Amino acid sequence: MSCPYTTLPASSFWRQAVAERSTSELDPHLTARLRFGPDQRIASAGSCFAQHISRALKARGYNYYVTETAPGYLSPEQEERFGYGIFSARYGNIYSTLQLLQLLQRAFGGFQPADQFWTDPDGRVFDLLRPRITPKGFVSMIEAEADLKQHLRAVRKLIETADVFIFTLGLTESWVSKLDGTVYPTCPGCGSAGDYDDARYAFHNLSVTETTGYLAEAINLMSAANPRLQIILTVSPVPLAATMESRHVMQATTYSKSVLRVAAEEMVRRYDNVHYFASYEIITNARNAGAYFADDARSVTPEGVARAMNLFFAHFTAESAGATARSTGDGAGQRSAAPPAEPQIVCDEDEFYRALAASRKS
Amino acid sequence: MDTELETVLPVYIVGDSHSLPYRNMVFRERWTGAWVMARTKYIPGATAREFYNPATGEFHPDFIAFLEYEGLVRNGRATHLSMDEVDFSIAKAVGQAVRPPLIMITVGEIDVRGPILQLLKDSHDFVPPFATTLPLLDKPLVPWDIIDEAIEARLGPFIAGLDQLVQAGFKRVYVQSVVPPTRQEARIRELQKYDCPVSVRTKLVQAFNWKLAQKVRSVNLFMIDRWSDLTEGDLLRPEFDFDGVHLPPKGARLLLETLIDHAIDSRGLVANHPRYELYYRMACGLDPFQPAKSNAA
Repeated sequence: MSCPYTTLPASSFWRQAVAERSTSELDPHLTARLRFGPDQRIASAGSCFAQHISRALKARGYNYYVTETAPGYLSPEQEERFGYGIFSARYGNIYSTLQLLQLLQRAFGGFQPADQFWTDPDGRVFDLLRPRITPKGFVSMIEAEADLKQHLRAVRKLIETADVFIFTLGLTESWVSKLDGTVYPTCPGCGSAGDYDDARYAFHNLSVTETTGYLAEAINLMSAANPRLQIILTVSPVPLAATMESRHVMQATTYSKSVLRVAAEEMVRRYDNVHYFASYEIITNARNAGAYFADDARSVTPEGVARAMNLFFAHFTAESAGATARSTGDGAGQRSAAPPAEPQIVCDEDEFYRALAASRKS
Repeated sequence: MDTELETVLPVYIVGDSHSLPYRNMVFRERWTGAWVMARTKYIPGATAREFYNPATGEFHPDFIAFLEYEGLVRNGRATHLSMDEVDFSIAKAVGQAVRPPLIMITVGEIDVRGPILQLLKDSHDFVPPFATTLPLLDKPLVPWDIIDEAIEARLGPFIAGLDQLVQAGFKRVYVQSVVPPTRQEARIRELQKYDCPVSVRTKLVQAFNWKLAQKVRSVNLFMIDRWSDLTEGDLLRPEFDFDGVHLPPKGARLLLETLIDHAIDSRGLVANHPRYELYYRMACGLDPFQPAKSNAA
């Protein structure tokens, strides 16, 4: 019997697949089992990085599916400010698998958070589960509750009628309500809405078992609502802005991304309708030596985003990677000082980070 | 044959087509029995947004033309405050009031029915920041802040213009509230080329008036409103639905009576010190248009 490795393709060997390839040739995918076209309804959710996918889908003329649409005659600036079209519904950033699961449970009627709304001193009401969806908050509790009802209806419709759902896993570190375990996108009172209160909120870093379990439950729920639904999972390559663990943020990032990557892998193995897109590997692989990160070693450069998106379309659509790479001029070139000229990414986590930095200066 | 001459209190009503129901309206006001006469100017397509341009400081040309035609402005100044001999002589000759004139501006309905309503159409509803009896439909919501921004964009220039009028001495300017919209859905479809439920349209007018009243008050002026008389359950009473857009003259009369009531109750606003000065100097046998001699001279 010959050694089984001799039957493997070049992509299985580091030297041929990575070491002997230039950065712009690196492609950590084999042929995808899923392909979608411009007619299919593609929905998305996830962390900040997920917005690159929604933008790229729209820019390339795919049917980016939005069920919570902006009213007519809004300017693009207003649409963005009020969270329209950033994701398929106005749920804001969804960082953890538990957050995704609870959103689905709320949409399909199984879960009602005990501590969701917060009123500021001016009487404006904020939804702590999507704190930046209205920049100044809702004008009243009536408006907040009515808007939530319509939002959850839009989420239900999204799941029931989409063809493909792309979810970018972002974090394991979470803030939860001590009352009922509601998970918030960011720590309440840190940079956005809410008042931090030790008695009401607790930090929790999801384990691999929890992350995987919640993600499986979310997938089961979505598949039950829409048996045709195909799901693409990705892991955000963006490191943590901050950690609450008593260890270095780099270790915390490695833990978080490892858990998320394992959870994604588990789902691909477990479900036929779940697929993986390797944005994490494309951006962070050692061959790139950080070339797709800006000087802060956290923001992904436009070149990195372009490369990831080109490969995404090359594998999941009929587009060719080479053609799209050429047309959009990607490639890991020189490191950018900052991610310029790109449309701004709406990111709850960054808002928290900015507020934290400001409070330390003052 | 001697004919008894009676003075008439003119009310100058200028603006969009909602000024039309006042045309040729004459009646005796209920407190003193004095004649009130509406003098109107219809400016086709007049909107709050285009009433005044804060960037250039210019009013709608038809509005200024109307004030000039009525003798309320001459050489760019309010004639009732003018110390100019010619203005004084004209006022004396025509027996014109030397008080700030009563002016009512009718704009806003086109602003509401045009760009703001398009945010809602038949697809959305919204929650206003005040209590209303109108239902909240089971439709996606336009956040109030977006509605607020849209109204603000229309009212900002208008209120800046009102402020300019007050600074120029026109302290008895009134603004007519936007009238409750028709219940006739077919008429709206005909006018707008799209559907919009009456509860949503009416709520939007309420919201516009809510903001308009606050802003008009902020420049020490007053909005004329008879919502509770014109509506039933917050919807336009059928007897006041004239043509699907305007009030019938009897509805306009209600609003004008409110203006007169307010004007009578607000006599403090009519103080006209420059004119009192002129009359005082005349009564003292002095030439009112020659400066008084200084003691030091």
